[in-house]
Amino acid sequence: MTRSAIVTGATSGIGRATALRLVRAGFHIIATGRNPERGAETVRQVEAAGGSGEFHSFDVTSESDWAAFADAVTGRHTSVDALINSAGSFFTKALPDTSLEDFRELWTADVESVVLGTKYGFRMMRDTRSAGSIVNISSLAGLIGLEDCAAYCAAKAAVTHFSRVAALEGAQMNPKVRVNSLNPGVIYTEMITHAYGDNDAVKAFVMDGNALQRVGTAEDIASAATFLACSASRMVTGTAMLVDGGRGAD
Amino acid sequence: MTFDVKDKVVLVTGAASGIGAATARLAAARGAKVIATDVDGERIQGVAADCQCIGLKHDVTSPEDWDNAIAAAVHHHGRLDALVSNAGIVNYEPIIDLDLARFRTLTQVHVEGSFLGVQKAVAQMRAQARGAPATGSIVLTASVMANCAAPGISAYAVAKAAMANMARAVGVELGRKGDMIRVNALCPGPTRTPLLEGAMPPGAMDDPAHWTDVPLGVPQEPEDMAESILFLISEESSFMTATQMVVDGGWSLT
Repeated sequence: MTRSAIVTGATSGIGRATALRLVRAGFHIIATGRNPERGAETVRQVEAAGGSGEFHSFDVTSESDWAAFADAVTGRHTSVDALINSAGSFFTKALPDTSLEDFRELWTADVESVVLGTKYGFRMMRDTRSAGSIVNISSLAGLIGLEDCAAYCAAKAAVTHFSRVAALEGAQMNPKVRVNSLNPGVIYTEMITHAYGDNDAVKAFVMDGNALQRVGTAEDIASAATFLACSASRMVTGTAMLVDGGRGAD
Repeated sequence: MTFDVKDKVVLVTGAASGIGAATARLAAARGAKVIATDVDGERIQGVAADCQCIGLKHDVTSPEDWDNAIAAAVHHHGRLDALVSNAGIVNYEPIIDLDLARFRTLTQVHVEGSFLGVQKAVAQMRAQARGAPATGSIVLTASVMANCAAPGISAYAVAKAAMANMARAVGVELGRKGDMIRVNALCPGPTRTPLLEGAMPPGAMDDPAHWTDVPLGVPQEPEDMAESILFLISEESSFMTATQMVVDGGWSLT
C-alpha cells in the first residue's frame, strides 16, 4: 500500500524540497499551496523524480479550507502517513516599527496555520487509522533570539512548544500519532532573499553565523523532515530537532 | 528510503551489547565498514562475527587502546569517517552513598572516554584530509538524563550532561576552525539494553504498566537508537552539528 505525505507550502523552498525528498522514501505526495502554477511545477518535479503527486490549492490559515481539504484527502486516500506543515511567512522589522497588524499577519501565517494543520492532520490520521507523523517547520529563532524579528521569534517559539503539547495528545490516539518540530537555522530560500535581498552580503549573513562554514539549503531540511516522517524515527516525538549548522550553539 | 552510510568507515565503542551492538549491526547491514570495540574482548568477537567486521578489545579510558582502534580502521580501510562514542556504564546509588571511586570510574568512562575519542578521531580525520577541510561525523551517546533527572542517578546524569555539552562545544570549535567534522549528541530515553534491564525487576521491561510515563507507551529498542545514529553519520545530516538529538518516545516532555 502506498503511503502518502501531505506537504504544505510545497510551492517553493523547504516545502518543495521536502516533497521531492519524500518521493525517494516512497511516499505519494499531496502538495498544497496558494499558487496553482507553482503547485503544478512541484507535481511535475515529483513525477520527474519517479514519484506520484497531486496538488491542492487552499489557504492554510482558513479552517473551512482545511476541513474541505481533509474531506477530499480522506475520500481519496486510505492512509495519511505524514504531514509536513511547512507553509510560513517571515519579515524583519525593528519593534518600534512593527504594527499590531504586522504581528497578527505573521502570527496567523506561522502559528494559526500550524495549529489548524495539526488539528486536521490528527483528524485525517484518526479517520484513516494511520500511525502518522506530523512535522511542524519551526525555526532556530523559536529557541534563541534574532534582532528585528520579535514577531517571528515569538511565532516560532509558539510553534515549537505547541508541537510538544500536540505530541502528548497524539500519543493518546489509537494508533498513536507522532508530532515534532523541526527547527532550521538560517536557510538560503526565497523566504530569506525576499526579506533581505539576494546578494553576497546576504549570503555571507546566511553563512557566517554558522559554525559549519557553509550555506544551509532547503535540501538539508528536507532530509531531516524525511527522517522525522519515516519509521527510522519511530520513537521520536515531542522533540525540537535543530538543523542549523551549529548557529545556535555558541 | 534509508540514509546512506555505504562504505563509510565507522568505529563504534561499547559495541558488544545494547545500542552499540545494534548500531554496529545496522551499519554493517547497510554497507558501512565497521570497527566494533568493547572492553569485553570476548563478547565483541560475537558481534564482529555477525557483522563480518573487525572486533577489538578496547578500554575507552586508555589512550593506547584508542590509538589501536583507530590504527585498525586505517590499516583495514584506509581512513576513519565516523566515531560513535557509545561505551557506557551506570550506577544507581543515592548521592549520600556514592563512593568517590565509583563516581570517578563512571565519569572516566563517559567523559574521559569521549574526550579521548574525539581528540584521536579528529586527529585522524585531519591527517587523512591532507590539507583539505577535514570531514567526518562524531556521535556521542549521551542520554535524556543530560537534561532531566531521576532519583539515584546523579553520577550518570552528570556524566551524560558533560557528554552532551562536549558535543556542543567541540562541534562549534571544529566548525569555526574550518573543519567539516560534525559532532552531535544522541540523547536516548529508556531503552531495552543490558544496562537498563539490569536495573529493572524481571519481566518489567515488557509490562505496559512500567511504561505509562512514556507517551509512546513502550520501551525503545536499541535499533531505534541505531537508526538515529546512522542518520547522524549519513551525509543527509551534514548541516547538523553541536546538537542534541532526543529519542525518548516523549518521555522528557512532562
